[in-house]
Amino acid sequence: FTHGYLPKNFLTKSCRYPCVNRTDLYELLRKAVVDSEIVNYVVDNKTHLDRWDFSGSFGFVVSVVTTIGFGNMSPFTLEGKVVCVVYAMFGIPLTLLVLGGLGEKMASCISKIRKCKNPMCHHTPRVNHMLNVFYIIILGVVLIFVAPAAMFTYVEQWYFMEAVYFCFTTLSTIGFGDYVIGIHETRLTNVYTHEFYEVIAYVWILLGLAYLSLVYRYITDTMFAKAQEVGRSTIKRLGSVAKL
Amino acid sequence: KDHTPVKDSLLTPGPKFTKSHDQKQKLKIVNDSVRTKQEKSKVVTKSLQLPGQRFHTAAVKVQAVVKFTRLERLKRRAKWATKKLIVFILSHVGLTVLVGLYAVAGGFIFQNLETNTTFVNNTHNNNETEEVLENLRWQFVERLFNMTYELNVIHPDSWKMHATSVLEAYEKQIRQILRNVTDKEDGQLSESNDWTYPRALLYALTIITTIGYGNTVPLTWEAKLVSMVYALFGIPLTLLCLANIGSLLASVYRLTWKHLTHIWLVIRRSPSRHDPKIETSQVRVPILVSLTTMVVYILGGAAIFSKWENWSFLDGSYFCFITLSTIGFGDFVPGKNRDTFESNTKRVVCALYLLFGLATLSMVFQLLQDSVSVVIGRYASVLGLSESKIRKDMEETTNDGSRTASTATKVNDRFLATVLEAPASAAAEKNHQIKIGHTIQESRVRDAPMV
Repeated sequence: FTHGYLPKNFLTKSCRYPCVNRTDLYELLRKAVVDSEIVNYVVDNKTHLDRWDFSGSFGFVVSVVTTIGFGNMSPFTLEGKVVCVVYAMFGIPLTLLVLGGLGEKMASCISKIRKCKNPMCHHTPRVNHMLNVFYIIILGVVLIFVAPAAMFTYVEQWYFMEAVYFCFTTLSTIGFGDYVIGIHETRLTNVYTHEFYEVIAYVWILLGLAYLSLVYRYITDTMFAKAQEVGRSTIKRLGSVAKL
Repeated sequence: KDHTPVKDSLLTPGPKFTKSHDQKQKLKIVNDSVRTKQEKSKVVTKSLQLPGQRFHTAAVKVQAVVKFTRLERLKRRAKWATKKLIVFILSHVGLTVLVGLYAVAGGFIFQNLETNTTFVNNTHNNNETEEVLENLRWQFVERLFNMTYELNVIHPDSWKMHATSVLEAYEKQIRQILRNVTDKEDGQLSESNDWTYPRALLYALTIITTIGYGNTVPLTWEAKLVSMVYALFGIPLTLLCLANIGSLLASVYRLTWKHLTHIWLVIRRSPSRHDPKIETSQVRVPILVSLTTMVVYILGGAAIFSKWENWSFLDGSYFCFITLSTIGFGDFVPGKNRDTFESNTKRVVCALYLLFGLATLSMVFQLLQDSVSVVIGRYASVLGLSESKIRKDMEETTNDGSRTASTATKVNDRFLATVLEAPASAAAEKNHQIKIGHTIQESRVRDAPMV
């Protein structure tokens, strides 16, 4: 393509295609080189031509701001890269603020729900705490992993384990990008349901991250309390050994 | 002072007895009274001794006590030192070593998991190419012979001309083959080929730091499952380690900043010299300085990688930023898809840059934490939104007895409390580093330096 002989031959070979505009052809070829998936769309005459439409860009923005970073779409032009960096610098702390607050809200909701259900149970604070953790973990596993995985299995036509793998790598913000939602042909043929599905998926990512931050905080808090306890007891034991 | 108070009360001021009789009486009284065995023995030893003897034993006892405390002090100091050392190892060095071992082990695990599947593909490609080359060689040897045979009479110039054209055709074919082979290596197949150790190490690191480039991905089911489990345990461990290192580096940075400012003021002979004996933990590094450190690190990495990989400098800094913010698109990754020594060293250097960069980032976060909360507090107080002022207002309104105003201020208070506490909690959510660092600092203050 850099030598230009391929499009030249295509256009001028015995004037086979006189109606094709040269600049249009070059644009198409450049896009095809950048985004090889477009070739399928052009050949099969589909309407979803540009990946950088609103839902695709929204997905890209979500992947930047949550630091997941799928990588299937990344800025190509210089201006795009600069804007991406600036956007990330402001967006990441802002997102962390929001997700942290969301997580707290969810925790309070969960504890409220639990209290309403069992008004007669008198638990000690420790048992209460453990029950809270249990509920959170169960709810987390079901709502954040199983249900979305089922949805992806149906829509994206993956295997269930593949969908679980995708959920895990996305919510842990690793984000390999080997599995990405919404770019391949899905079972949702209607454009509007497809866009709705994509929006739902990105909202799930945000909520799931808020939930996971909560789980992480619980785990680290309990780990820390235990570590401190262990530390204090070992130091006491060391002290008593020293005294002996 | 043989007489204890109890004895005095028991002994009535009666007639004087003889010594032995006196002693016997005392013993009897001691035995009769309700007292512990210790006291009885004390009383007995005390009463059985002459005054001179008592002084001597007392002196011996005092000497023994002094010796005992000195030895005890030494022992205690040694034990305290060893305790501190153990705890230090477990908290800083030990954790780092643990994470390093985890990454190294992960590299081995993934290398073993993935090379089995790709080995077959590699040999297949090589055999194919070998065959093609051999056929091509024979083909052109035949052509050369035919050309020479047809010439019949061999003139050097004409033969050379014909031979050149034949060899040019051969060259063209070779180029075509090489292009196909290299295309295959650059394509999807080669991404999973050659899981050398540096590549596996970089892959393991991208998992536990949640960067996740995506240029190398697990293909088999076992590898995917192992990756998930590896991430589940590795990510909290790495976050913990990074928070730890970050707090350590932050305190070192604060110390150097304190001394630098002191030296600067001394040089300028400014009258308002800062007291060098301020607590290191109270030194506040300005926001600009911490941010500049991060920027310098990013630009330094950009310079190195852009030179090695022939990227532009802007592309290199873009790569460094995307990597260190753990976004990790994977559009730029150092080390091409070859198995050369160069690309392997590049990958190892990238891994090291990654680790140090994340530690620096954690340090910068902790340094920023103090400054940012102070700055926001200042602005909040300027705007009249400080917590103390709100509480005062609330008190005033509750004293006045107007309910609506009090509830309004209550709502404001709660909302603004979350906003004011936000910087700390936001940074905590980021990689859960700051919260951990805070707890570390708190725990250190509480003198429980474990972890």
